[in-house]
Amino acid sequence: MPDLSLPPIQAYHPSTFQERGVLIPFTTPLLGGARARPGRRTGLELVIPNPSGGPGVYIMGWNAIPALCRPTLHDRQLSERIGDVAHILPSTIRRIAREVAAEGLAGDEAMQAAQVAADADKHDRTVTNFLLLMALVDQIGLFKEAPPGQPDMETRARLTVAKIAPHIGRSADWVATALESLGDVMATIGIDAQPAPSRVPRVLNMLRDTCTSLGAWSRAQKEADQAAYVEMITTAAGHTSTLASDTIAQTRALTKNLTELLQRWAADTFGIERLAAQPEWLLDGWEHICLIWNCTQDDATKRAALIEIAQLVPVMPQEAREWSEIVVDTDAASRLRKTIPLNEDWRTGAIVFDLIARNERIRAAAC
Amino acid sequence: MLNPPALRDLRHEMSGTDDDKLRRIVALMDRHPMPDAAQAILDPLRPRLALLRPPRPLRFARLLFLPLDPVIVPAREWRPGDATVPRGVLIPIAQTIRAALGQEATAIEGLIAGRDTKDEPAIAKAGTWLWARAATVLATASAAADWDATGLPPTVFPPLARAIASVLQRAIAVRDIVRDGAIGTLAPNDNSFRAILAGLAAESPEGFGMVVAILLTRLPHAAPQLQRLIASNRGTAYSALLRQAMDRGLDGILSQMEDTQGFGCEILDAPLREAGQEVQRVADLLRDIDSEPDAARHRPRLKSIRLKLDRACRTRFGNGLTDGFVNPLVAAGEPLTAAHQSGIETRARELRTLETAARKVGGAKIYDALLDRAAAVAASAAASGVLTPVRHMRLVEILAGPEAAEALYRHNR
Repeated sequence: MPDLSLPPIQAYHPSTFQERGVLIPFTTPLLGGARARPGRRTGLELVIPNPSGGPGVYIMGWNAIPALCRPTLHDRQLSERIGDVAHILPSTIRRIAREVAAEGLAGDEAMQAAQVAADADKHDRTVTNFLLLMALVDQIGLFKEAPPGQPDMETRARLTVAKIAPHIGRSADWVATALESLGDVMATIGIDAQPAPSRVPRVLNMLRDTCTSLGAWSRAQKEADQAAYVEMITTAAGHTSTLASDTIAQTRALTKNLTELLQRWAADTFGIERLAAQPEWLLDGWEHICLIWNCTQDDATKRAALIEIAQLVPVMPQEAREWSEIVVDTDAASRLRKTIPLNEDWRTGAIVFDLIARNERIRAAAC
Repeated sequence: MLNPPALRDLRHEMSGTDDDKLRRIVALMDRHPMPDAAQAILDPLRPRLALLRPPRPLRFARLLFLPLDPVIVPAREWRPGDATVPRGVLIPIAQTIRAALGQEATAIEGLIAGRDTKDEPAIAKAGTWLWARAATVLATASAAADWDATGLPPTVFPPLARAIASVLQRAIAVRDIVRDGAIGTLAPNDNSFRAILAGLAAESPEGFGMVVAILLTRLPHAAPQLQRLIASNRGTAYSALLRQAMDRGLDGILSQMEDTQGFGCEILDAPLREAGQEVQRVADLLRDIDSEPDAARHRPRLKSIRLKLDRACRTRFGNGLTDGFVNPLVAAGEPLTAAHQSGIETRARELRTLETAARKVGGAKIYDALLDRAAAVAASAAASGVLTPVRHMRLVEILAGPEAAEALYRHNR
């Protein structure tokens, strides 16, 4: 990084998830771990981990990216499109990143993965929507005594929606549309009856598997430093996992009484959307970490990945305490954080081409 | 078993065979039920095999001596007291260790059965088991009954065995530090360096020289780390010994680079990826030697080595560009498959890795011109439908940079 362009290193203790920002899946090695967040006055800010491995971050305006490094074509497009976004959410970044990947700018593999992932999301939305509708039919119970298959499912759904619409104070059309919107909102976390896990539970499973793998590997290592890094990473991952599971359960619990959920949706759509987005905010950045670990082959690449990951472990904002009644020590990981002696040049020079290729593989796996 | 004249005829015939045929013959010989007999046939071809680097079966002796590879020399070049190992002693020493380890040796052989010398995880696993145990055996072993076959007096055995033991004792630590250095994420760790060298001088002076030579050969920036260690022990016998070992090690490395074969197998004939890593390592080493306090005495040698390295880089880059990039694109008569595109992107990245390292050694103009040529070939391939617009952009990005790719992207929009 050219020193002239850099602002001073700043402390980074975000109190809200918005302030923590959303991880941007850049492929340029020097932009690894960069996050986007709303600026104090206007536009977006870029938050980049201290490249020396020390504490703190660089915070700068979104437009400063080209002055920092030579971003890949993929990253130029990604940053340009993100720069136009008013509200930064993990889901928004994922959508934009997928659009850029779908153009092939991160390679064929990422392009195909983006298309497959878009189809999978669409499938998740359809399934969730269908399951919500079926749950509503069951909960209202108009056809408890009816012979199987009579009337058909479509008629049952239509009659059920018509039945509850007056209780919500809205039309049947509004209820049908609201159920569809709820399906969209819930699709990433899924509902209890979902046959296959949706995106967020999948990431949560991946995080647990990574922690298991990290722990198993660490037990076979002799170096105390490595054990300390693993402890820091797995502690933070454990807290994230606990809170994400709880917020998923809280959101899914709302579907136990769909009439009430629809009433709340009518009164406070934004509140429900925010609740359903909490698991994704909590897990933001962890999928990237898991995939870095999954790209390793031997002890040496694992040691290097560990150091890279330790830099990227998301800070848990205080806001998380408002999201769950489960008490976790959100500062534990911060206390375990250590200054890591990174080779400052490791993301430049001849190695950069291999790192871009690896980041593109991560893009493909994360779509 | 072949009689001597038949063996001579076979060797003569094999010496004239082409590289591909030789690789196939080696693969066939490696499956021979009597590996020692097969090795006897292949021995005279060792210099060519070193250039071709075919994967070889991971056998007990081969695994055992992998950590010592940079300091193994032909028997005729070895003298007592050298910080090197004569090739002729490898099999007798391996047999001594195998006999001492008994069942464990059999278990290690089971672990490496069917594996080859490119299988890093298998080497790491079996090596972790073998090397430290072998070091313990060698630290007190006596020459085996068949030692006479080496042609060396029995008095040579004890110091050589202790030296090899010292290297093997540190094989895992050296392997770790070398791999960490090659990946480059971690800052150079002087403590790990110190830990490897701790107690070594008292254990075995030859072993000390071997470890220093191995570190200098394999680890980028070993020279400045050794310099720091010398400076921090200034005035002590240890510092003088380290200085001596480092001087000898560097002299050996520079002589190797000056040799007519220098850079042959490492760069000219190596796979593109390995060639790029090797150029990076050698360029760093030359720069480090040049930054030493008494670098003036090396400068004439460094100058001619740089010229030689520069020539090797240009040749390897030119060949790699033609074989790995230009020819496949020119020969493709139809749109590339995803696998084909991925392969060409990988070659392009390897070329850029080599070129980025090579620019530190020689002029930039030749590489600029060759990269321009590659970009022009990619443009022709795009015009003829072999490359889609986005695949063309990807190759332009790798070869000419993201700005050129972005211009193309905006133009195509």
